[in-house]
Amino acid sequence: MYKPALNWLLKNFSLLLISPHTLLPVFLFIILLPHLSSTPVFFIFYIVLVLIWFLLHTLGIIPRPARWVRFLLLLMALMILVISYGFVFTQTASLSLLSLMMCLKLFEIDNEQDRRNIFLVIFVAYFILISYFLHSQDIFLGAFILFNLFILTLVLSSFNRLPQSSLSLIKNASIISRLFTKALPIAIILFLFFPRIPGPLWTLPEFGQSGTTGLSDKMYPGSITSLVNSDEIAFRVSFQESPPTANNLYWRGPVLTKTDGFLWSQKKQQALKKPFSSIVSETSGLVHYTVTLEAHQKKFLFTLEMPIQFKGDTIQGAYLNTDLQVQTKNSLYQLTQYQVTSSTHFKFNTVFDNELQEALKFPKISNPKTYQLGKSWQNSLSDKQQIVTAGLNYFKDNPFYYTKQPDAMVVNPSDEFLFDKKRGFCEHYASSFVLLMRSAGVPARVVTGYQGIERNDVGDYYIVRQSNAHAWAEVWLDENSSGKTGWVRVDPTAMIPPERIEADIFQTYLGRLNFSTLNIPELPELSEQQKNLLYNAYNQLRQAIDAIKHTWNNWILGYDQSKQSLLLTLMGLSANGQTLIFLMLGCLITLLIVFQINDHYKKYKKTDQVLKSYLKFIDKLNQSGLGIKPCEGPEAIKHRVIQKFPEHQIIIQNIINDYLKIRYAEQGDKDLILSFITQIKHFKLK
Amino acid sequence: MNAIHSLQRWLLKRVSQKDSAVLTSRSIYILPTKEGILFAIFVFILLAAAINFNNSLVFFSTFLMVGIGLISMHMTQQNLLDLKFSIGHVKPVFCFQNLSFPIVIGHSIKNLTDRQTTKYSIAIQFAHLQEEKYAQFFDLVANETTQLQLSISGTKRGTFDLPPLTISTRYPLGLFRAWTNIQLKNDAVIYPKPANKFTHKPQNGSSSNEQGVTGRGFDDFNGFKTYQTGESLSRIHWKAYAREQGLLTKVFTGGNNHEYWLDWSDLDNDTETRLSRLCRLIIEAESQGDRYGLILPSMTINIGQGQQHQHQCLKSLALYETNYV
Repeated sequence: MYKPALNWLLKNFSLLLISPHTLLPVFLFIILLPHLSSTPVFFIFYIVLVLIWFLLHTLGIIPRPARWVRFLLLLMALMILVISYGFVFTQTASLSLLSLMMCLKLFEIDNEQDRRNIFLVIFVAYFILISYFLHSQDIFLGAFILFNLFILTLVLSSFNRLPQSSLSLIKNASIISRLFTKALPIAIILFLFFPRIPGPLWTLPEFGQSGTTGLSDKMYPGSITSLVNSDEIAFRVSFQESPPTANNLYWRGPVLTKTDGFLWSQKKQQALKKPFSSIVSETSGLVHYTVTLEAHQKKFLFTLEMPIQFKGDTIQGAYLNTDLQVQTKNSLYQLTQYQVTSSTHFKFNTVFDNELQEALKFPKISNPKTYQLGKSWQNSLSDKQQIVTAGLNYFKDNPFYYTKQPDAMVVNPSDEFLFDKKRGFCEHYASSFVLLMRSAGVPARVVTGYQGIERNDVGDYYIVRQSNAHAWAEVWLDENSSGKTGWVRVDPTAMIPPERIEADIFQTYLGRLNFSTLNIPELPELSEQQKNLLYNAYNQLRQAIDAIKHTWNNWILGYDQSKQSLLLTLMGLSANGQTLIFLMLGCLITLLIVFQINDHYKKYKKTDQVLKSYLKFIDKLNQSGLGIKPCEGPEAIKHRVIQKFPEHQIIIQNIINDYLKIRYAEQGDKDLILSFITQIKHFKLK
Repeated sequence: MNAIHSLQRWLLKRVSQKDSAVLTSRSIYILPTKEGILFAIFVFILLAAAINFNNSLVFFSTFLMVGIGLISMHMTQQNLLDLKFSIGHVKPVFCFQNLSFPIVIGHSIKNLTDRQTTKYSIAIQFAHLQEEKYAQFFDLVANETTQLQLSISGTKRGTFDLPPLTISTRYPLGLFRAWTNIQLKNDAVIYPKPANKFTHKPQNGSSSNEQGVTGRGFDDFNGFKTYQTGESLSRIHWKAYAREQGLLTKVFTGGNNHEYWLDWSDLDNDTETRLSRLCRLIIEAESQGDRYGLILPSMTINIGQGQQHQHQCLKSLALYETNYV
């Protein structure tokens, strides 16, 4: 079965005859593909040139570049690096450097026995492949990398096949697949039980990555509007109990106090040093949940208002700042998982004395009309609560519209929005409202984050997308006014009556999904009911795919110290490092023993029961001095035995005939085999 | 590397000579190669990266690499396991000719499945020549045997102890090298180097029996025999050689029926010269079809003729006083 197939392959695909040496540049090119997709064109050109040169060299078409040519090539490579990346040491740049060096190293290979250089090239290729995971941990990329690890190992083994044959690549494939099937369980055991050390060993240089959409720590008119059409997932949430009601689903992100009238930004970051209880009191309505945050390359986490507790292995050193917002030490380049307990009913006091002063600063010169309106409220209204109500009613009573497509507002955006355009998105409402409050003497600030959730029925978790990005306001109310004290959340967009909300604004992600985006050219003659059915099926599929992604994120990518502890507890073991080490070693040793036993049994061919019995039969005949030679066939034996022992004629005839029947009949008969074996067992001469 | 060499020297002292050597897990040594150490360093870098970036898939890939390393170690060792080495018959040669040792390699267990027991890229070389260029590589399919020729020049007459052999493999990944040293018994004999032609009047034995002797002569063609080293080239049947039937010499009968003794005491030189001169005389006598006997101080070989007789005579020359030489 195997050999004819191989011969057929050889006959038709002479390409397979090429030695591993020649195939190496081809495989290296495939391995570099994901990286090449993010490099400049001339970089790709250079790599391809070097690889083709090496390919032609191995085919004997052109000679290896001389030493000085190789030196020139190296200089060229360094120039390309400097032109592409400057002198900034980013992750992409270092990967590019590694790729160039690997390709140039190919020319250092003297011959197919130059193990040092060949191994070095292959090890660097391994390294480049695995480092892709630092960029993305996508499940498909994972499959690509695993496949290429296999190919690389295959190439490596082909170089160790001596004497080298052109076929070694194919011939080694079965051995390397055996190697991988045995290595995989080891990898799984180590993955599960190797004691994980939380946190980075050393602080990382900030990598100049870019290109993700998401909420930033700055806000200006139009910045959140740009996210509203993005279906990208910001984070996924699993609630321990049921999720809180919709009016409490405010995911707190950066709190913006500083402004110049146009741009809003955070004040100086400081960790909260005072005891938490002195700031947030009367907590109730506790919600426990786990957030799996997509890498957003920024230094903050999102939590439901107000976070009381949070933990997670990958966010070591994260802290609550004075705005009660969770900050991380490093930018998050990885999928990050953390557990939070939040309180939906709370009292939020000031942290600093000068905090209110900062929340009253109105940028000079900007937005004069806004300032005047606020001042007029301060003069006419005595109570801060009344001023807040006046501000909210201003949006309700005047023809303000909530829209996804506001006009650009650059100079004095609040004036423009409040008195001229009157059409805006949440950041327009929030920033104008805060400025109004400040001018009226009410301390106020902008809070950005996300609002709302979308349920995934398949996986029983919730999704928050970029389109859920939102901005709202926080105002400071005195103790003496109607029961509310401290910082209070106010969402001015909530004041817009439904008829002034543009139709598509609250259209959810699912609502936006329709068949036009599916690229199905025509769906003729489908009834409304059928269309609905199809739509639901499609929706289910999308949810199922996302659920798989979530499970992957949760259990594979998010497997950390806490999950490790959870696993140990589920196994009924105490969760500490010692247990892990014992468990790891124990499993490894058991596995190796299993391999050893398995190998031992696979060494021997499965014994043929019929043959065994037949040989026993011959043995019994030989005991009575027949001297049967190995060359004698069953028929010949039959004649000889019957001549010598005519009294056993029937039984001997039976046995031999059965044997021939078993061996030559078209279909195996299990009963016949059994009776044949028992016959021989009871057979006796004399 | 020096440490490995001194380890190898120490291991070689422990090798004992056997008729056949079976490689068991007790006799196979395994150490990482230079490339294997490089691989380990690379895995450590990966592990550090995995911990630092807390990246699950880098963790997994690192552990996969660890698994590949471990299993490849196991496979490298398995690749040598249960191999059986022995030496076939070694053709005797004259001193300073190359001895060719047929090494017979098989499996020590029978009835094997193909998958688990096929051996790949195994190197065999003399233990004192460790460089890879001296190695011969072979594969061995399950339930089969193979044969390799190892050549070494014999510089001293007598029996020959094949130096210890190193059997090694780095398959599949070259990260580890498994090896073992074996020393095999053999039946090699090195005859003394034949002296240059010289005139010697052999002492007649019992005065020649003139009748009915089937001695070889020059007159009547009597058939062919296989060529023996030292025989006159003029008698080679070249046409047969051209037909690829091997080197045959024409055998003639009649005329010559000399019969004499070749005596140690007739020659008056030192031992080695005497032996090589005797060697020359035996070859000449055999090729001329004479009947001859050999007298050494320690033994006497009766008058006879033929390949077997020649071998016996030459062997006794080869082994003469070897215990003292």
